[in-house]
Amino acid sequence: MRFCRKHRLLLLMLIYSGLGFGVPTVADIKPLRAFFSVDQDHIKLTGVFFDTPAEYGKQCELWVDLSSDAGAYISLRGEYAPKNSVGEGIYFADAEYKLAEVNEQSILLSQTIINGFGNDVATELKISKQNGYWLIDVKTSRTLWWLTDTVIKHCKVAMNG
Amino acid sequence: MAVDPTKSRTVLVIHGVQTADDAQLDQHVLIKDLLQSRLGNQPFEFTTELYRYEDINDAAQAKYLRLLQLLQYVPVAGSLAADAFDLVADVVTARSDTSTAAAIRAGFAAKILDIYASQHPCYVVAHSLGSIYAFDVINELIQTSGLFDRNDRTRWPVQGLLTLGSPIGLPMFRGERRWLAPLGAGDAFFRWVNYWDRNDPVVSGAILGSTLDDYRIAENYLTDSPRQGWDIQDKPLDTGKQWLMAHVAYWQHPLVGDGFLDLIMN
Repeated sequence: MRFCRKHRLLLLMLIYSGLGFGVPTVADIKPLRAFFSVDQDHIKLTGVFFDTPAEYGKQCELWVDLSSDAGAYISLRGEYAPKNSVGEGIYFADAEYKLAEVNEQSILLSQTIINGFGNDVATELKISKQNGYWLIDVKTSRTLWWLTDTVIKHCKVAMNG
Repeated sequence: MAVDPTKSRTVLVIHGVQTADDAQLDQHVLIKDLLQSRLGNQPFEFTTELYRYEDINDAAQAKYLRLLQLLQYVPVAGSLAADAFDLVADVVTARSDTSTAAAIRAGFAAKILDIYASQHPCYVVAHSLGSIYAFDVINELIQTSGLFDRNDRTRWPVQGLLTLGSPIGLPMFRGERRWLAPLGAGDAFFRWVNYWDRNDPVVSGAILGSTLDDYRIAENYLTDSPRQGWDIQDKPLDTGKQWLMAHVAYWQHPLVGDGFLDLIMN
């Protein structure tokens, strides 16, 4: 009986290990700061969506916050987002993330925030520099139980703001 | 314009995920019955209203509803899956940055401001997905110039918030909502009470509806900043129901009624 309870507890711990909004990790954001070539912690740049479902509107914003490991994020925010939303993207403190690619021209980040079986959000964020513009691609897949909803958004932002 | 505290309270309900259409929704009646049953003979004036948005929502989910209709041709899958499917589709596709979500929020904000204009103190009750809209709209109103002066509650279009079975703790909602709008310097607190059933799968996101303990949800938004101005309490419940039945059991629970009366009477 005791043996079974122990294993049940272990299983539950595994299943719910992501509860409480993810396990904070130490995010090494130095390469990102170098990529954006900025000294300031906050960047907000406005651009336009392209090849993106019309329901997300026309205007988009790239938000970068590199202020601290705990609060840092890079996100894409559309014109219909609520005022208190930072948009969809990579939230460095919420779960581990992968910096799959980083060079002078582009970065590719991915993150999956798991909240138990059949309940997660997977995000891929790519930012490329091209002819004076940032090109931002965000793919977000939200899964609840047996249903996954994936949305891909593309935004073009002038690098000089 | 200012709230008159001597006027009767208005309880504004925003519903959650539904299989019904707008005409079939009656949560404002359920909360009225619950409050009256807890009040007994105690005199207390209040009215309840419901903000409906399911018809707008369903229009935005046409592809999932078509799939739902197909499922209903399969007898077993259809009968088992219909309610759960609509609920899951509502939650998963409830992206807050679409024109549909913006329209729902705008309508809800307009309803709140209508009540504010009538000078009745307004309290919001939000169930399930409705709690996400309520959270967004109240935070937007706090950031609106001229509203929510922390030292003058008569300038608060919403006096308090009660959420039931909120999925606000799930990463798909919590991730992009990283903070609350602060009320600024002052002494008054905006009260938010969040009831959740320990077996409610919409709160936990657990498909099997596993029981949760010691799970902070809304209280995770609390900070040490004296300027935040929010008083938040998570209140776990055991309705005795399982899985999806737990998600709809809040409307009859006496502790919810007592807790809400405490919120609107004190």
